[in-house]
Amino acid sequence: MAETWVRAVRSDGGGIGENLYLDGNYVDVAALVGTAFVTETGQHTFETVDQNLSPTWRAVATVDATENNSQEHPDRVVLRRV
Amino acid sequence: MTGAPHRILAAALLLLGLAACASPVRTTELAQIDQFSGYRYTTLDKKAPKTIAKSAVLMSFSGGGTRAAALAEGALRALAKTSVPSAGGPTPLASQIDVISSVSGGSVTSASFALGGIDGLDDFEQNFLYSDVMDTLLTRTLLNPAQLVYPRIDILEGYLDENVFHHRTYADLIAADAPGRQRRPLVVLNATDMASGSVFSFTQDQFDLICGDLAQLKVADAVSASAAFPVALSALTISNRSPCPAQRAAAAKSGTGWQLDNGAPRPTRTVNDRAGDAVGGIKYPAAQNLARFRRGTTALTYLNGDSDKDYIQLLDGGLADNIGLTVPFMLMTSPAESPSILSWLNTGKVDKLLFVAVNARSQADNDFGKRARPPGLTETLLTTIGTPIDANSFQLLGRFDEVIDRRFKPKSLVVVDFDFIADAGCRAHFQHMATSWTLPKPQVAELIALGEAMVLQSPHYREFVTALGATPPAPTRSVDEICAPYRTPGPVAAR
Repeated sequence: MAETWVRAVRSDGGGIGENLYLDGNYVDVAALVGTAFVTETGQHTFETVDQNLSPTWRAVATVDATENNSQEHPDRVVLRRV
Repeated sequence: MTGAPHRILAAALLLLGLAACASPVRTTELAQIDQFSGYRYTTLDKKAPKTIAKSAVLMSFSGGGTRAAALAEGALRALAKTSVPSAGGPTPLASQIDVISSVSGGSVTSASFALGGIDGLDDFEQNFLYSDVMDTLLTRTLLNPAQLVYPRIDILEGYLDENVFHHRTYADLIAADAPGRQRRPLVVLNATDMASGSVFSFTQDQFDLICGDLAQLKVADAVSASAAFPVALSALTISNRSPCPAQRAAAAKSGTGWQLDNGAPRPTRTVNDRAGDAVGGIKYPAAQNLARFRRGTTALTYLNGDSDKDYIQLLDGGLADNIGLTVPFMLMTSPAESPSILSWLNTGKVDKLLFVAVNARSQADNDFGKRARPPGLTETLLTTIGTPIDANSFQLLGRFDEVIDRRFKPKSLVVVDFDFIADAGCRAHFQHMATSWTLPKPQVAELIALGEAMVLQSPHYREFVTALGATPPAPTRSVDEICAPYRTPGPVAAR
């Protein structure tokens, strides 16, 4: 399984620590905005949602296992307002 | 099994394959896709939240008939015997299991535990492990020849439904008022989809793809599919109702995990798994992790866009993965599963993990190494079926070990496997036990005791229990005591 470290940030710099969901799975929080986390390589849909589970910030991005990728040097994904 | 003439005749008739009639309709159409209801981890966790701190507890049970079922029972007994501190006071560790993934013989034990919990362990031993199941199956067949015109899987299903699972459905696994049980764990029974060769798991997540309401399915149906040993038993057939209105409604709404892709309803995860760039007629997957592309491709077949998969034929889960590791591996490595242990780690929800893998693999008694001539057709065929399954299972176990090693300290993989018995004579005694639905009672007792002892004596298990602030108990009988009658003479190092 190819895996990589990713950090998702909002384009306005806000929302640090907010719950982040992947691939439409709103059952489990996958990670937190602004914090490095491990995920599978490939295309993902990253989203934050409101209390009605409607997406508020989103990025559809392909995560690659880049050279020197680590917790300290994660790939960056930028979320845009929906 | 004994050699009574009527049983041999009945067995021969079974193998003739007189299945002819259509399979009964076992599933009903799903009314609504809802990630917060149905047989999913979240539903169970809501009813019985875990009370131990920052820990995930997973188990997997292999195939191997009653040999596997009894060994798994012993492992459950070990966790039932271990008391750990929790928010609500001391509690058995067996009440805190998150997920059990199982195949074939192991599925009978896991499903029984899902229904009866710790209180049901004794009944399960009497109703199944110590029963002469083979005799009952073959006698029932002989006394009711009509069974032979139904799919042969119904013989096993009927027995389990009446004698072990008492007509219970998945709705009983979810129900708030189910007596004597604690709702968790999520038990994932695994079969093999004959069309794709992939693992087919009995969860509502899987049934969303085929528009089926898992709550209406009998537990015995799922266990039978998981244990449908090829040729001896027929496949278990279930209807695929996809595409359906529930999928279209989910794709039109936020928060369901579904979306429209080129006008067709698809899980978002499947769309992402299948993403890629088409160049010159070849689609290059975006995922470096090609297992994701395969997962997405298999999911697409269930969505049945070409209407060529109206039925799903399910065989023994051991064909695709004989130790039931596929599901736990996904939970450990994918953030889009439920529950995703990877996501729990990412968000700091857990820092400790106990994974107990029970593998009742047998060692066929052969003399291949003593013959100058190649083995015959039957032996070659059986080896061809068994060898790749075992090799794949062990490779997956190795990768699983690596993933756990990288992320959790202390390392907490507990493997219950006859290969780990130090004494050669004792090891051979267990490895040569038959694969059957009936074993002599002393063998069943030994397997239960061994499963319990191999968990409780494991240094990784003891370390995990200690990390929870508890003292690991001693086994009822140690491995040395269980092995005493079968020990090879001479020093241990030479065995």
